[in-house]
Amino acid sequence: MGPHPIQELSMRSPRIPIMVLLFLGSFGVVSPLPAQTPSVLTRQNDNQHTGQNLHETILTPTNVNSGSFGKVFSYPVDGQIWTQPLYVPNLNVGTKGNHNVIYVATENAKVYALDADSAKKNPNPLWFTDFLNPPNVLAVPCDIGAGLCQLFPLVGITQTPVINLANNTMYVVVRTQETAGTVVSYVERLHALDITTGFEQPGSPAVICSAVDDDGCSFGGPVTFVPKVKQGRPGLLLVSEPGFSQGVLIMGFAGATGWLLAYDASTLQLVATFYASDGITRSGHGYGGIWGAGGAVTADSAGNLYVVTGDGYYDGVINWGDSLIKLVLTLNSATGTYSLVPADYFTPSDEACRFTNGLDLGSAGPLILPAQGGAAPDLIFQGGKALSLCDPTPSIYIVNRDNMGHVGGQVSLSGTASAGSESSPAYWASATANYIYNGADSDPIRAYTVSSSGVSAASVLQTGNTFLNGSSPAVSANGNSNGIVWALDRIDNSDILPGVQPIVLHAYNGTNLTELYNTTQAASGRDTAGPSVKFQVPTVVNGKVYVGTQSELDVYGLCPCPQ
Amino acid sequence: MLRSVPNLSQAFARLTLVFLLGVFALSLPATAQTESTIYSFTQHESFWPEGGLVEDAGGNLYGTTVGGGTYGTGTVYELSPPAKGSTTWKQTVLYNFQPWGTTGYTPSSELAIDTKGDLFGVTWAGGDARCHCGVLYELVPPAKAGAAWTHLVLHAFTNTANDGRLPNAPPVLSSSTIYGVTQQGGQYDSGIVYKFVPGKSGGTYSVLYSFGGNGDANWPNGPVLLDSSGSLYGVTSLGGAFNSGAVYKLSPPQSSGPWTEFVLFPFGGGSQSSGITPVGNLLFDSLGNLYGVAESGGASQLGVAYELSPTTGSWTQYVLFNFSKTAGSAPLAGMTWNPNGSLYGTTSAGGSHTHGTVFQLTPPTSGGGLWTETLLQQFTYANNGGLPSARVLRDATTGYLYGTTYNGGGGGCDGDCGVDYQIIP
Repeated sequence: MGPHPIQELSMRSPRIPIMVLLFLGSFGVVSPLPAQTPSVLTRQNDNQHTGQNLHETILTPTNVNSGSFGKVFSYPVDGQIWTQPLYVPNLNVGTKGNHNVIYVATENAKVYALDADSAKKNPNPLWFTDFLNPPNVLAVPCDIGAGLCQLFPLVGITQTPVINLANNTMYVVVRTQETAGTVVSYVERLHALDITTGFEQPGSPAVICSAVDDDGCSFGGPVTFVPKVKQGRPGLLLVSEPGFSQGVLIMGFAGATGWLLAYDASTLQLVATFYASDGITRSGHGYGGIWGAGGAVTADSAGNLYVVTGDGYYDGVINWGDSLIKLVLTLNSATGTYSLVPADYFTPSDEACRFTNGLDLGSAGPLILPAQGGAAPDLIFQGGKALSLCDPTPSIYIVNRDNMGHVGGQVSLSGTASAGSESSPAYWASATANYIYNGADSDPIRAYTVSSSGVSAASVLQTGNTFLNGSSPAVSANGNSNGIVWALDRIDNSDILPGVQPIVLHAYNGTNLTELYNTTQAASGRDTAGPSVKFQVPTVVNGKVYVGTQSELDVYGLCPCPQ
Repeated sequence: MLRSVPNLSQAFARLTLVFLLGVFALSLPATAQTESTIYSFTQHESFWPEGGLVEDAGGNLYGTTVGGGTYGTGTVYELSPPAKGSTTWKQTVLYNFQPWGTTGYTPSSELAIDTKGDLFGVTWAGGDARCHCGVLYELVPPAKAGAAWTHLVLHAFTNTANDGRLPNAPPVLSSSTIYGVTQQGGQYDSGIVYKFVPGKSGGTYSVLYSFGGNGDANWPNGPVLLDSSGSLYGVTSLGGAFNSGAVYKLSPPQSSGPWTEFVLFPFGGGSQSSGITPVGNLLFDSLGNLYGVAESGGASQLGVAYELSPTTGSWTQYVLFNFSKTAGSAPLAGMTWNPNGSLYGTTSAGGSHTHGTVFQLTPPTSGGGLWTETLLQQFTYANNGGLPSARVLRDATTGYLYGTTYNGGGGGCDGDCGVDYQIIP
């Protein structure tokens, strides 16, 4: 496969492996924290997006039921929470002492640091950072640009931030509309916040791109990054890299052409870029937007990035619509500059049909599976939208990340629901089987098994209920025991935005997917959550489940549960 | 306001007919009527009219959009009838909601209008600096035509001291008092009924009732309905004995003390044939029977229109019509009386184009039993809108119907931007 013609600076550049930062990994990765105090520092717990917390010793299938488990408190926030809540235990928050802290970022461009254990004892945020200055600096109204109000009504912070405990810093991308006189600009900024105070770290923020109206930034190439329409969707990824003391931040964007940007987490300087389309309009849908229901950007423990794109034209050279691409950050030793080089890729054989019909492969995030042994031990589980017109048998693609097979080169297929998925799966190795939990649209959560023989062609377990808009599950377990699958159900008609129905949290036994609990079971609406957003992932840690909604952070745990 | 009376027969006969007719409700094709789109919303102005329309004495219509406007967080707009010699309705944005400060944003229901032309509504977001959970507002027309309307926050919901949050239904005006509900908040975080009495120093706000005690109704959905004794009636989409919603009555104290709530009917029992998830407004007839819709349940699990009749010591529910894919499905708003005793309403989906309908339900000519549906409009989405989510407004003078669709009609929005429509029955 040829190099990317724009971002590739030199074919002779040595490949510098990207090492996943140790504190973000789970399998094959050592956490600096004691097992009793896990943290959640990135979307879906680790860079592979397994969605699992294997250090949960409080919540078990025995005590998670409506008699002993429920809503314990909530915090109001001023905007919708599309990001996944992040968690740092036992953090010294200056004069406020030590707290387990839960962090929430909202679409109204605010970040909250909240006590994770009690809103009664700590009703006010430990700190709170507001990136706006109305009326001149506002979160971007969703109707700026065509057809972008799938997030509604404001788009301020959508990408789940990432936390680096090595320098006590949270990295967050904020999108604003800024007015000076009659001139309206749109700005994407990368902020580095001290997680103990909420203050900007030295050198922060960095302007990713600031442009008037429909203008944009080229980053030295022919395709323009237009912040007016550019929505950051996937959670930020922090990966380690020789020469970068605090690692490299990877961020993906949708909204016309899909973009991937890499920033030095220490200096907040742009390191490299990648775009998934040449931006030329053709007969079809999309430009390879990078979103994946918030989970499109992943990395394996060997240091490779895996990024899935939405519908768009594909040519395997510069246009990467509906593809799962392996990208390597590569140093040009002559210039000292870096580029993101496509090293391998997988594209479904029905890509042309997907492009014609607007059928994103990248509506679902990839799951990088732990090594399973066998002939192809390193697998990726990749869902996506489905349509019988393109594929009579709707399928999930199982891809060998050591040899991704290019067009139609999947290792195997697993059956899925007729509409496919707009979600990210989760993984758990129980004592008896290794499970992948996947929540497709209008379908139950289904468990597939994976072993040295590969991924099962059909699901082996399923929940008793379906999820209208799919679901991105999370798993809590104590190693290979007490596995619980947690899943959020948005029950509003997907066309009704922002939606008024409460999001419903379900818990299932990880070994058989029988339901343990849901938030509608307790009498008198005791556990009712706030109104739902889309693509939320629950954060399960240290005996509690944190659920972001349109108006509040809801916290579930062992009762007493106030009525 | 009490309306003319559909025939009321003996309960037993009605029950028998309901049982015998089962799902075989009559649904008739549309008769001759004229539907037209009187305004198509666009992405760069305002879009997604979620609530319905209200009308002033001059025939001007008023509504809200949840999206668009100067700040992208919704508008209040006026739609004026065509001038002489024209067929074009004129749309004017009266107010742009701001996503900062304490004035509230994302209007979440249709408006109420008083005799002076003041408009009243609620927002889903903004308001109190900590809670950000919506406001009750008033828009006062300018003294001079064409000048700006004045926006007043009558109450910012706080979710403290048993206050509510997330108001989701239009306020109801009764002489000098405003009644309303919030979806959540209150003692059990399951919604409240509130009362606001405007006054010179800003008015007096009080919570009349917190939903959600053990077995209680919760999550009020539509506006309240007043009877002549001052009691309030409404629906909740959750709670009740089967946690599938309920119709409630809230009675004022004899002298002082708390208001008293009664669950008149819990939805969801048995096979859910009575419907589940009641939504929208209720209506009275002159005999004191209540009429409403449920979003789901019924013979096809796609919603019902129902009647609740008071009997000694209890209320009895009758299904008037079972919605279906072809007859329209999933009504999201209540109904409107036609003085001839029929009912108008909308379904958010179904019909021949699957994008919703405007229906008319006509009672049997004698005896009880299911009502007959006439489809007045089956939305096509692209041409004339889709996903009608609000009740219809009937102009008392002309008998014309006016309403909104949340989606469809073009305009560039995701899901299209919605329309305002007129039906001449």
